[in-house]
Amino acid sequence: MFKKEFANVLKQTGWFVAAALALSVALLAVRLMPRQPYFAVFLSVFQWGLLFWALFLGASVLARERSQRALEYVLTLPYSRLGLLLRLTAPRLIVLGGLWALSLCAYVLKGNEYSAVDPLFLAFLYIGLFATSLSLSPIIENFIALCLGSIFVWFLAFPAHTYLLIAVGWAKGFQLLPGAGAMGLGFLRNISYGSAGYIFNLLILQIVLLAVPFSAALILSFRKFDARPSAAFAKKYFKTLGLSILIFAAAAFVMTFLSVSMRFRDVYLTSDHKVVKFQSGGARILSREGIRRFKTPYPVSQVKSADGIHFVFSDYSNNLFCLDTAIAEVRTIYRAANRDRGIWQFWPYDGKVVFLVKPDSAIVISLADIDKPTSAGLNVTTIPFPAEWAQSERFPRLFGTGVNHGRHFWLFYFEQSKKPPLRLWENGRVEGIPLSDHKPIRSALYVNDMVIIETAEETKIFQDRGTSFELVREIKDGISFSFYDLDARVLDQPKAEVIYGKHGDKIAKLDLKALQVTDIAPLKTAHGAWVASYFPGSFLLTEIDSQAKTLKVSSICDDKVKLLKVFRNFDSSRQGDRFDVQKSGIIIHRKGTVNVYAFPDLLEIKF
Amino acid sequence: MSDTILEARELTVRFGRKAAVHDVSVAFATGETTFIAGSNGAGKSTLLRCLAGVIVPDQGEVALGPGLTRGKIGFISDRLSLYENWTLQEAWRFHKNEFRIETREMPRIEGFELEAGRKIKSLSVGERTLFHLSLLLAQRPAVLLVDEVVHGLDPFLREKFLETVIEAMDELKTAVIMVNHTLSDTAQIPERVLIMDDGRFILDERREELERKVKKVSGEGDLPPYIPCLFAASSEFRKDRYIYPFREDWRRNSAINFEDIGLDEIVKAFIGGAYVQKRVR
Repeated sequence: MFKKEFANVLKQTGWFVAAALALSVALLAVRLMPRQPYFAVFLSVFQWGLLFWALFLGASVLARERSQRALEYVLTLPYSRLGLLLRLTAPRLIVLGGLWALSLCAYVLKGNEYSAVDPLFLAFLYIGLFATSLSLSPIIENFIALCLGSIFVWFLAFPAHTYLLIAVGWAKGFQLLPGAGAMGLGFLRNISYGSAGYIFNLLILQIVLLAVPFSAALILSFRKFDARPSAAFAKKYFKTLGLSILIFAAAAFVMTFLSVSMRFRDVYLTSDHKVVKFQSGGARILSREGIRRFKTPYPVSQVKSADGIHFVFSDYSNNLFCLDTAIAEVRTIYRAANRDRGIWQFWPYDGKVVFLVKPDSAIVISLADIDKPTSAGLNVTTIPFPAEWAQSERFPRLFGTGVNHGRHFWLFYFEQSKKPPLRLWENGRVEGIPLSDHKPIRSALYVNDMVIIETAEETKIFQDRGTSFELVREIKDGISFSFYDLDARVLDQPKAEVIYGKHGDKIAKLDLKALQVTDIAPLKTAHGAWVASYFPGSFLLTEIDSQAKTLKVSSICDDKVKLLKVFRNFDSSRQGDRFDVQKSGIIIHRKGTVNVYAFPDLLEIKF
Repeated sequence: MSDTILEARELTVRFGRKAAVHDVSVAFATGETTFIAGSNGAGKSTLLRCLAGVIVPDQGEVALGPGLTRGKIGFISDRLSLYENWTLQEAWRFHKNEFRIETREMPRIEGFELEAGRKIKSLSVGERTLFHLSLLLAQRPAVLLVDEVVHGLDPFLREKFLETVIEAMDELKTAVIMVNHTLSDTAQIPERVLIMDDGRFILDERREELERKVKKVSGEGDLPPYIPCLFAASSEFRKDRYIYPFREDWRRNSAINFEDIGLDEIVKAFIGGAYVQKRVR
């Protein structure tokens, strides 16, 4: 049986490959895919054609037996039903796996060059379509109806269960987002932004939620498959399928929860010592007066503290809100007119927020006043990037902001790109800033009208001259000076005289007048130590001891390091353990619990 | 029964809401020949398909006797199910491999030759039946299930078919379970007769016993009330009444002429009786 099926499937697959080869020639001949080499066209045709072939292979499992009236004969063969199913299915899976391996090889060889689709992404589509059509083959006798039915089920079940899972996830506070690979699918586009890297989770979800229940339903019910009209079997099959979907949906949710912690939970301490918790479903203000809850219609995606009182946050429907913790009020400050736009990055500064939205073709900058509620088009300035930046394949990142002659400006650089950084003025003017030939190894720093850029080889300091930047200092001692401005907070109010940072295995001071770096104290463990500003003129040293599982927090003032507190049971290797230095305190996440400590003495705030 | 080779235990098979076989239990002995008869839709073919493993019962089970495997059960359905696009040679190769048959040569039925290169779909019903039988006999079946195929054959092929089956029974001690309507030329074959109606057995008798127990009374005269009439067939010209179960002392104690009848007529009486019962219900 296996040999017969294998030979038969191979023969049919030969026709499929031949058809793909011929179709590629035809597409080139009629110039539907011009200016592409033949192999590139063939790779596309082969990859997408394989979707239909996966569907066909699943659907054809009992088709020949039915069309040649051999079903009763096959059922008398000396195999159990599962044995029979295995003999019918295994050759098809082997051939499908082989074809996928071929497409993977072709992709590895030429994929990037020819913009081919990632075979990993296609793999779950192949598996899903194969499993669906295979599973439905015993109950739908008409071959064409079976193929159409499988496609229908797939495109009905796929968004349905994806949305269901995401909805359940969001309701429970988990960001279960589809991966970047799914962005091409229209119905997922809106919820795909910022979710790159979650493709594996999507794979698990799709395979577990779609392929596995269909396969399980077939395997569990096929022992009852017989020569009666399919309606009798269909009843048993659908009972099993319904149960399988429920079980595997629950299992998929648990698996995803256990495998990846994507719980969105940001905790902030306001200037007046209220605790603000942002979760997927909205925000909560916890204070002595009680708890105030704010729900958002869509899950929260990003949060930024504006000034310790105002918090700007976005949701997955591309709305931008401002939470005013002083009066406990949420205002919508921007609502994207076009749902296809996504808020990529935003930065509140000096009463304004700048943010990037990403339309399909160009990058634009919009501004909105935090304190003046508005809808799209009102008080919103849209500043398009010049073409040379707008066409960049990389998104710009904000690294500095300031006010010069009463005008706000923002500084951007393009990650992993050779394009120079740029300055964008609120009046729409854009300046390119050829700051360094080397790639910055972390976000550049803007302080005292100076841009400090750290690369692997050197630290460069540029003075802002209003319309250009002038190189004023180049530190090339082979050791970089590292300073973290954790949340891009500014140091220019009042203007700083020094900044402290990490200089190799020492704590060092950068004199912003003399532009000299001076070492002031050794670090016990350079790895895991950071220096950051938490308030103008005040600096904080945090040191993680991974062996002792402690987090040590010290202040640096007048070249002296003073230990503030040691937090125990902090394991940086444990998933979810992290700390966040804010203007008013430190938030520590340990073993899934959150503790808030307020400056200056780092006393714990109970909430 | 110690030599039971195949047993149906409380089988129920439904087609939608209708039970085609309803709580049927029956055992078949090694080497025994059983005919299953009954009205159309009585559940005969469904039962046979259950025994062959083609239909999975909704309730109950089919138990294989000691040493019997699925590979030793041969089934010829009335649909003559085989891959129609194959040649006889291809079908034989496949069958040989699947049933692990050691014989290399394609089996032949004496006096009946077919070209190996012919396609199955080009065969007549009779040729196809004989070819299928030859495939099944090559696997040396311990049980042979035959579903209403004999009546579709011409007299020559029917004789050939029955001869071959009888030879196999003699040589292999094969238990033959045959569903058949027309028993005129096969009446001497079965050792046991089962009659089904409405998914149940209404009769399960050894053939000799059955022939002894069923008699016919022709003519208009009334029958004493103690004589059970299974079925009365009347026409303009004659009136026949079938008596079951018959007792020999009635013949001695009355002037009624109890006629012996053949298996074909016995089955007809039972089926007719079942129809009457249904009308009454």
